Amino acid sequence: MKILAMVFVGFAGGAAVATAVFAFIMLIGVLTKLVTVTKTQKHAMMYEDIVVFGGLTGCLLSLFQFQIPLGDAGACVVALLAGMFVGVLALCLAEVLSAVPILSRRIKIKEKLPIIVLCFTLGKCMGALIQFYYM
Amino acid sequence: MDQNIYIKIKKKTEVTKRKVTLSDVADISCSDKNVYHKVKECCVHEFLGKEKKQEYVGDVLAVIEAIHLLHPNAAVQSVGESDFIIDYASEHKNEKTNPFYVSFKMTVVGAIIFVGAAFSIISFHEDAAVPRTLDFIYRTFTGIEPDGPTIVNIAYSIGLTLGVIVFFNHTLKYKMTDEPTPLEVELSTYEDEVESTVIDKQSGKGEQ
Repeated sequence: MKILAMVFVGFAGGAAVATAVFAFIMLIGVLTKLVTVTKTQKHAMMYEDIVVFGGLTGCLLSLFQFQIPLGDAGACVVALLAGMFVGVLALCLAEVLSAVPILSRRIKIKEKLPIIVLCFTLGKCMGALIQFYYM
Repeated sequence: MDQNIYIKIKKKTEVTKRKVTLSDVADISCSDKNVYHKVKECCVHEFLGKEKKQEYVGDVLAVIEAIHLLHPNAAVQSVGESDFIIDYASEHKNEKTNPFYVSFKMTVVGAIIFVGAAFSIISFHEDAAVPRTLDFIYRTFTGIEPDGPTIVNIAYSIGLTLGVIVFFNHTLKYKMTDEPTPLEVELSTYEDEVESTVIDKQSGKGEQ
C-alpha cells in the first residue's frame, strides 16, 4: 500500500513536470525555430519523439547519476549542442516577450537591425564567458 | 447582364513557371463555363529578371482589374485573401530534396533537440531540487532514509516519459487522436505569421 502510494505520487509528479517543462519549450518556440530554419517541417513528428527520448535520458541521468564514459571530446560535443539549444531558447524567449521590437521602437531604430542582433549575440557570448571564468 | 465570378485567392502559392495565371493562385467559381475558361488564363503576374528565386506580393484589386480588362461586365467577388504571396523558384526543390542534405540537417537538429531536452530536464531538476523532493517523498511514506535511487525515482521517470508522450499526443508512428500535434500547430501558426509579415512589409513599401 505504501509502495503503491509512493509510486502514484512519483508518477503524477513526473507527468506534471513533463507537461509543464515541454509545454514551455514548445510555447517559447525553440523547436519551431529549428525546424523552420532547416525546412524539415515534414518530420515534425520525429522531432517530437526525439524530445521524448531526450527528456527521458536527462531525467535518468540526473536522478540515477549514470556515467557516460565519452571523455572530454564527448562532453565537448554534448556541451556544444546544449549551448546551441540554450542559445535558441534564450533568443526565442526574447522574441516571445518582444524585447527587441520594443527596444528598437523606443530608441527609434528601424534600419540596421542586423547590427543589434549581432550585438545581442556577442553580448550573450561575453556574458557566458565572463560568468564561467571570473565567478 | 453581369456575370458573377467568385475567386478565392490562396495566401501563398509556389510556382516554377514565370507566367502566373489566376487559376494558379486562386479557386474560381463561375456559372458560365466560357467565362470561367477565359478568366482562368488571366495573367496575375509575370516574373521577369534573372534571379532564380523571386517573391511577389499582389493584391486582389489588381486581379479584379485584370479580369475586368478581359471581361468588362464581370462582377468579381473575392472570398479569399485580399493580399497574397507568389513565390517563384526556377528549379523548386532540387537542393531541398537532396536526401543526403536533408538527413544531415535532420541529424544536426535531432542531436540539438535531444541534448537540449535532456539539458532542460536536468537543469530543471537541479533548480527545483527534484531529487531531494523525491527522497523526501520516500522518507515520508516509508520512514526509511533513502540510500541511492528509490522506487519513487523510477515511477517519476515513467511518469515523465508518459507525460511528454501525452503532451505530444503520439509515440513514433502511433497517434492517440486525429488532432495535429503541438509542434504541427506551432509550425502552421509560425508560417501564417511569416506570411502576414511579408505582406505587410511589401504593401508598406508600395505606399511610400
